[in-house]
Amino acid sequence: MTTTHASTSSGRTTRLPALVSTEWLKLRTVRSTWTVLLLLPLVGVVSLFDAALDPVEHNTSLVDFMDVSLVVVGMAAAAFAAATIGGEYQRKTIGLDFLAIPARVPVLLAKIAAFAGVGLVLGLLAITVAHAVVIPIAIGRDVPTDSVGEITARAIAVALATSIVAALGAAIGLLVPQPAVAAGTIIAWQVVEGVLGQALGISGYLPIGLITTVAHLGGTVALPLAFAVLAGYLVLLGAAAVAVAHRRNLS
Amino acid sequence: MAGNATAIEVTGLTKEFGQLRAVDDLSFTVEYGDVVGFIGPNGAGKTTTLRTIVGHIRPDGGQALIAGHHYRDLADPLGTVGAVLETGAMHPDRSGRNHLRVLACQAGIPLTRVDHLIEALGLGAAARRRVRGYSLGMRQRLALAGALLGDPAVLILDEPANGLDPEGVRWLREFLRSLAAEGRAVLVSSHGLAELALTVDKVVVLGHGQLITQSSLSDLAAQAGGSTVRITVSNAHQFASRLLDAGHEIQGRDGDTLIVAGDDAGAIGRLAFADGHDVTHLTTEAPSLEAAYFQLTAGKESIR
Repeated sequence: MTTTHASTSSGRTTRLPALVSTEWLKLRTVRSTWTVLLLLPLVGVVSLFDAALDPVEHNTSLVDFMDVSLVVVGMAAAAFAAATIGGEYQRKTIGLDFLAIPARVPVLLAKIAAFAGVGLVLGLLAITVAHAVVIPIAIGRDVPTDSVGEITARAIAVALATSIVAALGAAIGLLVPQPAVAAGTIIAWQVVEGVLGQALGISGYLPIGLITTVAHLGGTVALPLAFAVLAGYLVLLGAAAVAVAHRRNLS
Repeated sequence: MAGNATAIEVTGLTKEFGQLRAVDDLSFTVEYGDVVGFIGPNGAGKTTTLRTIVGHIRPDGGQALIAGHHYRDLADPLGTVGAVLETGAMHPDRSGRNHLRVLACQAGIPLTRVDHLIEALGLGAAARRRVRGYSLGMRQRLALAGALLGDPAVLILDEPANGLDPEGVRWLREFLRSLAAEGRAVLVSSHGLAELALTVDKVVVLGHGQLITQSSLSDLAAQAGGSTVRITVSNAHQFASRLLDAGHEIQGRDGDTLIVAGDDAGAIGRLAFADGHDVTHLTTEAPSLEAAYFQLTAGKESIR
C-alpha cells in the first residue's frame, strides 16, 4: 500500500493515517457526530416494524426482517458524510485544511477514509442492534435463525458495505460543497436508484441494492462481485470527487 | 527572517471570474519587518488576491511567491505563512482549544504550542468553551492563534479588525506591531483607514483589481498633496491677501479659518502676529490616509 506524504510545519512528514486521525479528531469534537448514534435505536424500531409487517413465508429468513433498517443506516451514514463535508465548505473550514496541506489530495483522501471508518463502526453497531431485535422475533415466529458463523459473516459484510456507502457519501460531499444540497443528493440518489433499478432491472448492481445483497450474504449477485461493484463505485466517484475538489477555487 | 527572499512577491497576478476581471496584472511586494496595509474599495480584488497568494484560488496569469516559493511548493506551509482569510472559519460546536488542536494535529505541531498560544492571546478562560459562545473579538483572537500555530514569518490577514470593539482594535494594532518588531512580514487588509494609519508602515492600494500605488505612508501623504496649516484669525480675508503676497498657497477657507499649503506653521503664525491678527487656532495637519485613499481611488469604486 502506498502512503501519501505531505510536508508539515515541523519539518516532519504527515502520513495519510495522521490526516485520517485529524478527521476523526474533528468528528469527535463536535456534538453532531454523536447524534448520529441516535440512528441505532431507530434501527431497532425499524427492524421491529419490518418484522411485524413481514409475512412469514416458507423461504423467510432472519435477514428479511432487517433489510429496511440496514438500508436506512447506509443512507444515513452517506448523508451524514455528505452533509459534514458540505458543511466544511460552507463554513470555509476546509480552507484551513488546505493551508496546512496545500497539495489537497491527501486531505481529500483522508476525509473519504475517515467517513469509511465512521460507516464501518456505524454499520457494525447497526447490524448488532438489528440482530438483537430480530432474533427473538424470529424465534417467536418460527423463522429459522442463522448460525453464529452466518451472523458474524453478515455483521462483517454489512459493516464493510456501510463503510463503502459512507465513503460514497463523503465523495458526494466533496462534489456538492453545500450541506443541505449534499444531503439532498443522497435522498435523490435513493429515489433515482429505485426508479432506475426497477426500469432497467439492475437493482442488484446499484449501491443500495448491494447493501441488501450483502446483508443476504449474496443472492442475485455473488458476495465477492457485490463488493467488487461497490468498490468500483467508490473508486470512480472518489476519483471524480478528488479531481473536482483538488481544482476548486475557494472564494 | 527567511534568507534574502522577499516575504511576499506578487507579479502580474491576474484572475478572472467569467466576464469579471477581479485582479488585473497586479504586482507588489511585502518585506520582512513591515506591516503593509492592503486597501481598496469593495470589489477591488483584495480578498481574491489574498486567497490567490495562499493557493485557494488559481490565478489565470502571473504569480504570487512567499519567501520565494509558490504556496503549494512550501516545504513548511504553516511554518512559513499564517493566514486569517475568514474569521468565521471554525465549527461553532467545537471548543476553541479543540479548534486549534485540529489544526495542530493536521500539521504535526505539538499541543504545547496550542496551549502556549491560548495563553498568549488571552483565550485561557474561554479555551474549553464552544466557539458558538465566543464574541467576535474572541473569534478573531482564535483565528490569529491558528495563524500563529506554526510560528510563521509571514502573516496574511483579511479584515482582522472587522467587528472588534475599540479595545480589541487597540490590542490588534499593538499585536501586529509586535509581530513586525520581531521581523515578521504582515499583510493586512482593512477598511478601517484611520486605524490602519496607526498600524502599518506601507500601503498597497487597489482599484478595479489593479495596483493604484504601493508606498510608505509618508510618500502616500506627499502624493495626496502634502501637509497643510490651518489658521484661524480675526480677519481671514485680509490675512489671506497677506499670505498670498508672502508667497503662500491657500488651499481653502472655512469661515475665519484658512487652509494653507505646507507645514511651516511657525512662519505663518509669525506673519499673523506681525500683522496684528488675533490667532485663535494654528495647527499643522498631515493628510490622513483616508484623505489620500479617497483621492487615489476616486472613480475606482466597485460594487459587487
